[in-house]
Amino acid sequence: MQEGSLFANYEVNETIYDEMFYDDGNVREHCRRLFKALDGFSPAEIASMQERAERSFLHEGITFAVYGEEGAQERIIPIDFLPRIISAREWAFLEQGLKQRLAALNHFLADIYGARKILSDGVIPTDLVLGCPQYRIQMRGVQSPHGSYVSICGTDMIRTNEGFMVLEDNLRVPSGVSYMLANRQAVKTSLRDIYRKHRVHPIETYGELLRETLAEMAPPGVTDPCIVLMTPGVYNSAFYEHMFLAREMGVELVQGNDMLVHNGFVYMRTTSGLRKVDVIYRRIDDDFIDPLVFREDSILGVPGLFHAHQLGNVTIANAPGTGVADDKSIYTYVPDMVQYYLSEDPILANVETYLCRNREDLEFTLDNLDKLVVKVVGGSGGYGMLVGPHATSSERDAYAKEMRKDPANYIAQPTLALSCSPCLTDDGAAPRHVDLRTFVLQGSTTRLPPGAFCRVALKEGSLVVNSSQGGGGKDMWVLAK
Amino acid sequence: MSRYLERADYISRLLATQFEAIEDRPVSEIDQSWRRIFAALNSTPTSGFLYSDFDDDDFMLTDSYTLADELTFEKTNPNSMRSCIENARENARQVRFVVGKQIWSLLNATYLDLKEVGIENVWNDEPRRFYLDIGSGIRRLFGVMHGTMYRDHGWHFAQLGRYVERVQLICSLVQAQFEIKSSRKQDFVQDWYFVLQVCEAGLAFRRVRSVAHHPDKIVAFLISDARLSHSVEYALLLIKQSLDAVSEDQRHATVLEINDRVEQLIKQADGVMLSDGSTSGDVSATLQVILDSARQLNNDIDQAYFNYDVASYLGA
Repeated sequence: MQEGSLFANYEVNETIYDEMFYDDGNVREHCRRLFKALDGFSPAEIASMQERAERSFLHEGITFAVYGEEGAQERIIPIDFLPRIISAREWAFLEQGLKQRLAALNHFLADIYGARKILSDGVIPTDLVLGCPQYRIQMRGVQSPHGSYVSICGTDMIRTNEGFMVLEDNLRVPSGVSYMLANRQAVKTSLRDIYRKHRVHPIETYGELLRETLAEMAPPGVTDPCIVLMTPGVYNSAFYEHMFLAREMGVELVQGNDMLVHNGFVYMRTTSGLRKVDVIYRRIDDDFIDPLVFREDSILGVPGLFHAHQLGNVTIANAPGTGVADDKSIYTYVPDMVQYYLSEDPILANVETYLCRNREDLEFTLDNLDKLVVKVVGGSGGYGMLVGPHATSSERDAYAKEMRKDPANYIAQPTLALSCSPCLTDDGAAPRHVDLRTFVLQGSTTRLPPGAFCRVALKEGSLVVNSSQGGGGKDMWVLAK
Repeated sequence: MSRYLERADYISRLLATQFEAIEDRPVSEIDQSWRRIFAALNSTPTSGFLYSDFDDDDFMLTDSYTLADELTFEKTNPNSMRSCIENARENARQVRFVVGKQIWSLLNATYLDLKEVGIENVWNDEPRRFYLDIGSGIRRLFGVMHGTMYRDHGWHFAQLGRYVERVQLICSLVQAQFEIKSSRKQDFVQDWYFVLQVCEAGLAFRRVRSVAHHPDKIVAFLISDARLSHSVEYALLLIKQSLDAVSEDQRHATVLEINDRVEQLIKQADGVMLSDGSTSGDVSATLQVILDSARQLNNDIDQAYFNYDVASYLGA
C-alpha cells in the first residue's frame, strides 16, 4: 500500500472478519484485482465519485422520507463507493441456503393457517404462534397459489468469523431493492473499467424477475394477469421504491382509493373505466389492507379486498399474516422448520437467540445485558433495540425495567462482530461493519437475483446498519465463476 | 403536473417581461403592469399595491421587489412560481412510473435549483435572465415530455392539463388588459406589446400582421390564429385532439357532452377574427364564455375520467 493511496491507513482488526483482507493483512484471492484497481485511486478521487453519485441520487429523487418536527424531509441513503465482493462459491452457498429457508417458511405459513401439524407435533409452542400479534386468524384456511405465502422475502445476512448467519427474515413488505439497483448503477458508471473486468453477475433484471413471480401468483385460470403495486401513497418513506418497482415491472401503481371490490372481484379505476385486478403486490401493512377485516379506521385500504383474496379471485402478495413467520421469537425455530418440513439440515445458521419469555433466558439476559443486544420481538428498523456494550448503565437499568414488565416481548442475542468491509472515510479506506439484505422471490419457482443491498454502519465502531439510524449502502458484486 | 408547469412558465414570462419594463418604463406604466399581472393571475398582492408617488423610483423598486418575491418564491401564494413547481413535482412524483426518469430528474433539478435561491439573489443579479432561464428550463421539460412520452392516456391528460390552463391564462391576460384599458380610457401600444411578449407572439404578429401593434388585431390574433401556439384556438384544438384520443372507446353522456362543448368553443374562438384580422362581436363576452367553460372543463374531465360514478361501469 503506497503512501497517499486509498488503503495507506487501512488497519485490519484481527478479531473481526474482514471482507477484503485476511487477518495477516493479505488480500483475499477474489478481492485482489479490485484492491489493486482501487488502490490506484486517491481518497479524493473516490470521494468525488461518491459525491457525484449522491448528487445524482438527490436529483433523481432516490430518496426516503424522514418525518420529524419540521415535517417530511427527503434524504438519500448515503452510498459508500467501495464495492463488497462475494465469490461465486460463497454466493452458491447463500443461494442454496436462502432458497431452502424460504421454502420452509412458506411450508410453515401454509401449515399454521391450515392443519397446524407443526403445532400439534410440538415443534413450536402453540401459544407462541397463535399469540403472536402478526398471526391473522382471518387467514385460516386461505390457500395461496403454489403454496407461496411469501413471494418476496428480504433476509438479512451477516458474516462473522464463524461464517454466514441469518440475522432476520423480512416477510411482510421488505424494502431496499431499489437502493441496491441504484448503487449498482452509480458504481458501474463511475468504475466502468474495473466493473467490466470483474465479470460481475448483473442484477438489473430484478423487475422482470419480480413481474414473472407475481404473474405466477395469479389466481388459477388467469393467463394474462393484471398486476398492480399498491402503495400507501407519496408520503410513505419508501414511496420512491414503490414507484421504481412499478416502473421496472411496467405495472400500475395504485392506492387503496383507486380500487374497489364488486361481487368478490377487485377492480381498479382507469381513465377508460374499471379494470379487473388479479395480483396485488402490496407495500402496505396487513393492518391497513382492508378496513372491513383489519383496522377499521384504515383509509389506505380497500373494503372487501381480503374477502376477494379469501375467495381466490385476487392474490395479495405477500399474503396477509406472513409477519408471524418473521417475528423475532419465531425466528429461533426456523432451523427446526427446515428439518420438519424439508427433512434437511439447515444450510444457513441462525444467530444464537435467547427468548426472554423463558424464565432462564430472561435471567441470563438480565445478568448479561452489558454483553447482549436486546430487541423487541415485533420491532424493525433498529428501533427499540438495546446494544448492551454501547449503552450506559442507566440506559441498561431502564431497559431491564421495561423487560421485566413484559418479558415475552423481548429476545436477546450476543453482540456479534459483524464483518467489516473497506469504506471511504476522511482518512482513506477504513473498516466498517456491514450486513446484506438479500431478496428471494417465490412463485411457482424460486428466483434469487445475484446481488443484495449491502448495508453499512458508517460510524466507526457502530453495529447499526439501518438507514433510519444513520446507516448507508454499498454495491455488492457477486462474481461469475 | 403539466398545468402547474404551464402556469409557472407563464409567470416566468410575465415577470421576465415586467423586468424588461422596469429597466426603462415610467413608474406609472410599471404600476399598471403589476396590476395587470395580478389580474391576469386572478390574484391580489398580500400587502396590496403600495406606491402612490409615481415620481419616486426607489419606492417603486422596493414595491417591485416585494411583488416579484410574492410571485416567485412565496410559499403561501399558490400562484408563485415556487408553489407551481412544487405542485408539479408532487404531481409528477405520483406518476413517476409513467413520466420516466428523465422528465422527473429535470423537474426535480428545477425544483432544487429554485429552492436554493431567494429574491435577494435574483434581484442583485440579472432578474430578467433568471426568469428567462426558468422558462427555458420548463419548456425543455415539455420538450422532453413531447419527445419521450408514450402517447397513451397519461400523455393526453398531461396535454389536457397544459392546454386548458393555457386557454385560461391567455383569456385572463387579455381580459386584464381590457380592464386596464377601460380604467385609463386610453389604449397604450406598449401595453399590447407586453401582452404579445408574454404570449410569445411578438415575432409571429410582426410577420403575419404588421409592425404596428394594433390592439384589435392583436386580440384577434391571440384568440383565433390556430397557427400561434399561444393562441386560444390553438390550445382548444389540442384539447379537442386529446379529448378525442381519451374518449375513443367511451360513449358516456358526460364524455360526449365535453367533446361537444369544446367543439363549440373552437367555433366561438374562430369566429372572433374577421378576414382582415380584426375582431368581430363582443370579444370580452366571448372571452368570458371561453374562460368560464375552460374552468368548468377541469371539473368535468375530472368527473368523467377520474372521479366517475363506478355504478355505470358495473351495470348496477
